[in-house]
Amino acid sequence: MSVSPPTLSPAPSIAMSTGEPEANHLSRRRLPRAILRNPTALAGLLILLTFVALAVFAGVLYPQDPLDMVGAPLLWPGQDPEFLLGTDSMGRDVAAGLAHGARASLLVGAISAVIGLFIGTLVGAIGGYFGGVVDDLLVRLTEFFQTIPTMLLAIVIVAIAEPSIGMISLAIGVGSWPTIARLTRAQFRSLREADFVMAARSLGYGDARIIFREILPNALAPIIVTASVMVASAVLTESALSFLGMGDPNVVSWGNMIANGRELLRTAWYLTALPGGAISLAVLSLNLVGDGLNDVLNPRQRGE
Amino acid sequence: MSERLHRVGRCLRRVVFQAVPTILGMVILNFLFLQLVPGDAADVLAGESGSATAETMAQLRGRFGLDQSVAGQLLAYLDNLAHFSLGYSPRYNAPVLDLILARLPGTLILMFGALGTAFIVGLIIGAIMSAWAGKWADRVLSVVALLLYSTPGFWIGLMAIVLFSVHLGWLPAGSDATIGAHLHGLDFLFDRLRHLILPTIALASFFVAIYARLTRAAMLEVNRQDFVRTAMAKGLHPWRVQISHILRNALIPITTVAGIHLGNLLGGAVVVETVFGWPGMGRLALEAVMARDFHVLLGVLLLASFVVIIANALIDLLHAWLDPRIEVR
Amino acid sequence: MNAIMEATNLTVAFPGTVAVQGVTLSIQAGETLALVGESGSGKSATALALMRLLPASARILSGRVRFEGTDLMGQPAAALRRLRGKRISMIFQEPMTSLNPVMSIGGQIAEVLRQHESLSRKQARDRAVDLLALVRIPDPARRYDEFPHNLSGGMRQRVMIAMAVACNPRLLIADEPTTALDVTIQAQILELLDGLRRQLSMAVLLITHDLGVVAQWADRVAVMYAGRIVEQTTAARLFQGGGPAHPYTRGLLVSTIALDAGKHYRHARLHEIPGTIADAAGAPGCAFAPRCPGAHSDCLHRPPPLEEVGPGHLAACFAPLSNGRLSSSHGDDDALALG
Repeated sequence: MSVSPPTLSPAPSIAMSTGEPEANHLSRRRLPRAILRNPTALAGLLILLTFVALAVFAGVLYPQDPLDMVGAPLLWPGQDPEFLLGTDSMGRDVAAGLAHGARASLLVGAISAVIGLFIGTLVGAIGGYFGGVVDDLLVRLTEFFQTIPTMLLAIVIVAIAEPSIGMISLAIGVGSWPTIARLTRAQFRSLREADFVMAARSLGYGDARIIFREILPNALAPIIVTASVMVASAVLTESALSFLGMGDPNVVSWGNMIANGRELLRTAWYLTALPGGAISLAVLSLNLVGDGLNDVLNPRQRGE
Repeated sequence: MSERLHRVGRCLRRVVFQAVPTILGMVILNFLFLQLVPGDAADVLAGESGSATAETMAQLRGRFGLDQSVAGQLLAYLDNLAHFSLGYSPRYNAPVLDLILARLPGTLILMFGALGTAFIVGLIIGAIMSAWAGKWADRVLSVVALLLYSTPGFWIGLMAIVLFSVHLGWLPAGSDATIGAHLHGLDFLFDRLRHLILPTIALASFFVAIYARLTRAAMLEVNRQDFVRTAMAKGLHPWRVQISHILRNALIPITTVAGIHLGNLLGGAVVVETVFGWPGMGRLALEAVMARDFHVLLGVLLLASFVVIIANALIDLLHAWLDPRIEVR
Repeated sequence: MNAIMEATNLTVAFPGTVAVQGVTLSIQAGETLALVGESGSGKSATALALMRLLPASARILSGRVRFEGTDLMGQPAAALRRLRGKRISMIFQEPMTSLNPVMSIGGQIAEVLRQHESLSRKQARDRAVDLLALVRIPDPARRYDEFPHNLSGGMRQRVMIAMAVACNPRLLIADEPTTALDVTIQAQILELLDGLRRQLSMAVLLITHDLGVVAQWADRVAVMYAGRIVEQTTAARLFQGGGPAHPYTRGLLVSTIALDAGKHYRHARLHEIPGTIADAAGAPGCAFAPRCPGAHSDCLHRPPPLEEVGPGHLAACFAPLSNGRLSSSHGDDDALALG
C-alpha cells in the first residue's frame, strides 16, 4: 500500500554558483536541528528509535528463540511478572515475539523502500531528464505498475518464489516504486531547465553526472519525505503478507503473530491486539517522521 | 450540459486508447509469470491424476502447446485470452474464468462499498478539518486520521469482531450472508448489509484517512483562491461557499488520488476477505496459492488489474465531468 | 447630497502591520468616487473593510461604517450577507481567478440572483441571460453554459460586472477592475461600468492607481498614502481647477502624465516619486515626509490632519500646495523636480 502526500512541490530555491548547486533549503548541518525542533518529527523519531533499538537488541533482551515454549500457555498480560505481555497458546513469550518481530518488520520495510527508491528514482530521473519517447515509455511503464494491485503482485511473486525476507522485500519494492518515479520525474522536469543545469551543460558534463550530481541532490527533499511514508506502507504490506501466511516461516513477524492469535480471538484477544498495536505504533512513528520532514522541507505546504 | 457530454465523450476515447497498451502489458507480464512457475500444466495434471508416463506427459504437453517455443506459447496464450479463456483449473475442475467470475461480484461489492464509505466519510472529516484548521477539532481529527492511516485494516477488522461480534453480539463476524437462512426480499438485503458492515469498516479505514488528509489539504488550497472571496461578496452563506465552491473544486485533486489508490484498495480487499471469510477473488487467490494452482492465481491478478483499469477509466470520466478545463490541458 | 456609504475613522490591522489608519470617507448616491493610491497604500483593505469581507487574519481596530443609515459594524453575519451582492457588490482585479473555474458563467450569475431573490431556476436563468446581454456579451443564451476559461479577459470582467449588478445594488466597489486587462479593453470596461452606473443609478467606488482613469471617469477623488487619506476633492478641481494640494498627489500626477500645462515642468516625460511607500504604522509624523520635497520639522513629529484647503477640498498636509505648486516658503519649483 504505497501512499504519497497529496502534492509535493519542487524545491523552489535553487542557488546558482559554479555549476555546483547548493544543497536545497537546508544544509546538511541544519536539517537534523530543524527536525529536532519539529515536535511531530521528534515524537516520531523517538518512537522509531525505540523500535530500532528493540530490533537490534532483541537477541540480547530475549536471547532464547522466540518460537520456543518458555512458560505456561495463555497467560494474560500482567498475570505473570516474568512474562509482562503474557504468553500464547504454545507458551511462547509475547514480548519476545514482539521484539524479534520488530526485526522482520523494520528490515523488510527498509529493504523494500531502498529497492523502491532505487527503481523509482532511476525511472523518474531518466524519464524526466531526457523527455521525449523515453519519457513516454517510462510513464507508460509507471502507470502500468501502478495499475497492478501491489498486494496481489507481492502474493504472486512470493508464491512463485520461496518466501524469505529478501524475496518479500523485493516483491513489495517492485510494487511500490511508481510513486517515487512520478515524483522524481516531476522534479526533474522542473529542474532540467534550471540555471545550474545549464551551467553544468556548458561545462561539458555528461548526462549521468548532471543527473546524479547536479539535479538529484536538489530534487531530494520530497523524495526523502515520501521514502519515510514508503517504509511505513511496506511495514503494513509485510504485516498483511505474513498475516496471510506468506511470510518467511522461520522468522517471527507481527503479522504472523496476529494470524496465530486470530484462532483464539474470542477468548485471548490480547494475542491479536498486542502485535497489531505494535504495527500501528511503528507505522505511526514512520508517518510522524514523514509529516515532520514534510513540514521542515516543504514549509509552504503547511495548512494555515 | 451538451458541452459536458462532449467532453466526457472525448475523454472516453482517450481512456480506451490508453487502456489497450496497459492491458497488453498486463497479459505479457502474466505470461512471463506463468513461465516462471515451477513445473508446467502437464506436471500439475499428471500430479493430479497420479499416473504419468513420459509418453502421456509428452502427449499432454502437445495438447497444451507446451512443447512449442516461448513465442509460440505466448501466441497460444493470447489466442486463449481472445476467446476469454484463462485456462483450466485441475484443482477445482472448472475453467479458471468461471471460478473467478463467480467470485468477482463479492469483491466488487466489498471494494466499491469501502470506496464509497471511505470517500464520503473522508470528505466529511476533511471538510471539518479544513473549516476549523488549526483549532482543536482539526487537531483531534488529524490524530485520528493519522492513526487510521498507520493501522492495518485487517487488524481493525479483527478488533471490530472482538468488540461488535464477540462482546456486543451486534454484527456477524464472517461470511456474506447467514447460512441456511433462506431469506427473501428486504430481509435478504438487510442480512447482506449486516454482513457487509464490518468488512467495509476494515477495508475503508485506511482510505478514510487518505481522503480526509487529502480533502483537508485540497480545501485549504482552494480556500486561498480569489473566487472564494467573490462567492463571499455575493452574500452566500459560508457553508454554501464551502460546499458548492470550495469542495466542488477540491474534488478534482481528490478524485485523481482516489484513482491512484484503487489498486491498493483491491489489494486490501484480499486480506479483508480472508479475515471475514468473504467469498471474493482475494480469498480465491489465497486458496489457489495453498493449492499451488497458479493458473487461478494469475487469472486473479489479470482480472484484478482489469477491474482497476475499468475503475480508473470511470474516474477519468468523472474527472472530465467535474473539470471543464480538462480538454485544455 | 446624501451619502449612502460613510466610513468614519476606519482602522484595519493585519498581523504585523496597520493597513488602514483612520480613514474617513463618504460616497454619495449615484456618484463615482475614485480611491487612488499605489499598491500597498491600503485601498483594497479599505474596500474589503467596507464590505466586511476582510480575511480572518485582519482586524478592524476602530471606526464605523454606515450604509444607507445602518451601522455595518454592529450587524450580525446574516444581515451582512443580505447586503452583500444585493445592496453592495464588488468586482475584483483578476477576472480569471475571481470566477469559479468549474461553474458555468451563467450559473455563477444565477447563483447570486437566487440567493437574494426568490426565483425559480428557470427565472434565474432568464434573468442571467438578460444580464449577460446587459453587459454586452454577444449571444448570451449560448454563452450561459460556457466556463470562464472559454472567455477572454474582457469578457470575464463583463461576467463579473453582470454578477455584481444582478440585484441592482446601490453601491458597486470596483477594485482595480481594468488593471489585468489589455489597454484597448480597459476603456470598454470602464465605459460599460459608467453606463451601468447611470442606467441603474448606483454609486461606484472605483479603486485604481491610474490617474488617467480617474480624470476620465470619476466625480470625486480620494488619494490614499500609507493607509491614510491624504487628499480628497472633486475630479474637476483636481484636474482642471486648482490642482492638487498634497505633494504626494502632485507627484502621482506628474508620474502619470506630463500634463497639458507642461510649462510647470521642464521635462515632458514620466516622473517617478523617489523612494518607496512607507509602512503606515511606522514613523510618528507624516508618512510621506521622507519622500516629500517640502517636508519640514513639523512633518516628522505628528501626522497632519485632513483639513479643508478649499471648497470641498480636503488635504492632510501642513504646507498644502496652492495651484498645484508648493507655497513660496518651500522654495521654487525645482525643489520638486521629482525623479
